[in-house]
Amino acid sequence: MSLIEVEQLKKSYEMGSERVHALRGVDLQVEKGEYVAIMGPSGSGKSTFLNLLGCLDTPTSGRYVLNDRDVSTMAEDDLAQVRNEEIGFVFQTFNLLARATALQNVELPLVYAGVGADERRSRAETALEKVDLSDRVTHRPNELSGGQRQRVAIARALVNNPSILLADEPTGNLDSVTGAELLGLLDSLHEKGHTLFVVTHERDVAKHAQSIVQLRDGQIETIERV
Amino acid sequence: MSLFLEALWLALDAIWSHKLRSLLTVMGNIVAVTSIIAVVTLIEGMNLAVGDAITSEAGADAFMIERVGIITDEDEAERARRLNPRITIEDALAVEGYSRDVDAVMAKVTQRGRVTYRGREMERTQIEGVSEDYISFSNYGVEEGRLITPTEVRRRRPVAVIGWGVADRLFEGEDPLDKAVKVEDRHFRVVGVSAKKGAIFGRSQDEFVIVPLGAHQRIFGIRRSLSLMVKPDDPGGMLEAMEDAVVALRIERQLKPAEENNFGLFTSGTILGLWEAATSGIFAVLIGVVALSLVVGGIVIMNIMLMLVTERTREIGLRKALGARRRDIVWQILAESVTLSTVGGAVGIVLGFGVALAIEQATPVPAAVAPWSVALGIGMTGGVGLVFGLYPALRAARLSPIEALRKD
Repeated sequence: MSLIEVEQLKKSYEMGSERVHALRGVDLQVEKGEYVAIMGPSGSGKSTFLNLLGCLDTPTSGRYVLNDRDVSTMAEDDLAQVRNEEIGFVFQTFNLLARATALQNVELPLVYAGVGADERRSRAETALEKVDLSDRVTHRPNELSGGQRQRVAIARALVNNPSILLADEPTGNLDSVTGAELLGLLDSLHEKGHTLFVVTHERDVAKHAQSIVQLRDGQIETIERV
Repeated sequence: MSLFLEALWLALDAIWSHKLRSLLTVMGNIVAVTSIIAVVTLIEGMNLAVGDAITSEAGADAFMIERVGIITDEDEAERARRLNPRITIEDALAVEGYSRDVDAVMAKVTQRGRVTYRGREMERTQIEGVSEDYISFSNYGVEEGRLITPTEVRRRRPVAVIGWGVADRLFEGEDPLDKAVKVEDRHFRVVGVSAKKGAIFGRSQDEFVIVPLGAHQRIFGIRRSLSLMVKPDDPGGMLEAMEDAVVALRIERQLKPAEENNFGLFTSGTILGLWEAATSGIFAVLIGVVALSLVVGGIVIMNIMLMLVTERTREIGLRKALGARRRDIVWQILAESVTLSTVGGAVGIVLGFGVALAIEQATPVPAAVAPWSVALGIGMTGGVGLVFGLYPALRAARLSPIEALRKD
């Protein structure tokens, strides 16, 4: 059994009187430890696919089994728990809490996992160490550079030891040098055995992955092995 | 729990970083709690003062018989004043003789008069004449010297116990004992000075002179109605003693069964009851004012919380993406609205005490803290935060993480 099994995944929305078919039947299997890039022009359904993979949304039809659990029909609060335990998110705009320190930001998923304060602190510190930010734990986001903020976000994504890491245009708000550093960090996470999904429209970013899934009109056009 | 603490900390931080907005938001709460605390503190102060005054006048363990009872109807009071005979010393003897439950009956009469000592004089001082049994009543005592003895009372001796205020103003530091004061035109030897009682509603309770009843009547005449104070053997037997007193007076006055009592009978509790009935009216108005400001305050809080939810749509989305369940979000928003609301209540408590203290300083009205009013202030504002935070909290919890995160 693969870590991720997606079968005939479909998603459609009502937009006014029209029905928009964002995903028209996607099949995909991803093994543990794989590094997958998802590409496609806007409107190809890659955001929708990412939302479904991240359990932020449920499919209209089809099946999605993550780590032996069928998450395609789960209720909202159960999905929240799956997100908390299985998925680490990295967003293009970092999405850190401005009022909280780096450490508090990284602790947040553990708060919702019900982890006690002491353990939360030590695990968050370890996670910040992994992204080389041990000297920035008490800094607030506005005291950090873009690259540092994104590394805090990665530490937050890792702190719960999730099954998969989902990064949505992780280098989109970074300059090319820090972007390259960040991709290096993702590479090293991959080497340590993490399963990674990166959504990007940049070929250079996608090339870091083992396979590139090209979406078009809500379907997989090609899967390319790098 | 840690989620709640986190939300609490977050709420305090948000309140602090938006001081003016927070202040305006909880203005309704502040007004409500300030008025509760101020009014309750003043009423509590007045209750204590009035309670003290009545007890020191009537005694907690005695009841009183007067020519006119406590009548709240003006016409009826007028009729009673016309029809009821004066209370006389015979009435006192009748009550004392009839019942075995009665320990002591005293008669007293009070009149305002002039007291002088060596050219210094006090007008309109309370001159109280007492019968010999007065010694059995707890509200008479001296700090210096001695009380008037029953023998002196019986013999109508010209001796007096003076209040602390009279000693202070007439003698100005001189020792009043064994000096002769003039009450109206008669000399009285001072045998005792009462302890200082202080003022109630700005009126000194220390400006009085106590003399034997007979001596009082020599000055002011015998046509004045007396007041009787009756002390039962056993403080628990107050009602039985009162019933006996009514029977004794009806027999003595030869009232027919159909005739109403032509005298009045009451305890300090009766008077306190009247006072409490009067203040309960104030409470009723207060509840109206407070309820109105709390509803207004609650609506403002709800409005601000809805605004906050909109402001933080992205944050809520992020929290959901990271694993917050709906109830986690509900608790977070509720904790914030309850904290905000309760902080308003706390400010109101401080302001309320401030107002009450200021009034106490500026006017004779006393103030006393009622602990329950603090609990009420905190409880009510907490409740308002909970009730009016619920809708914003549920709206926040319903946000879809995708929509929330997408929003810029």
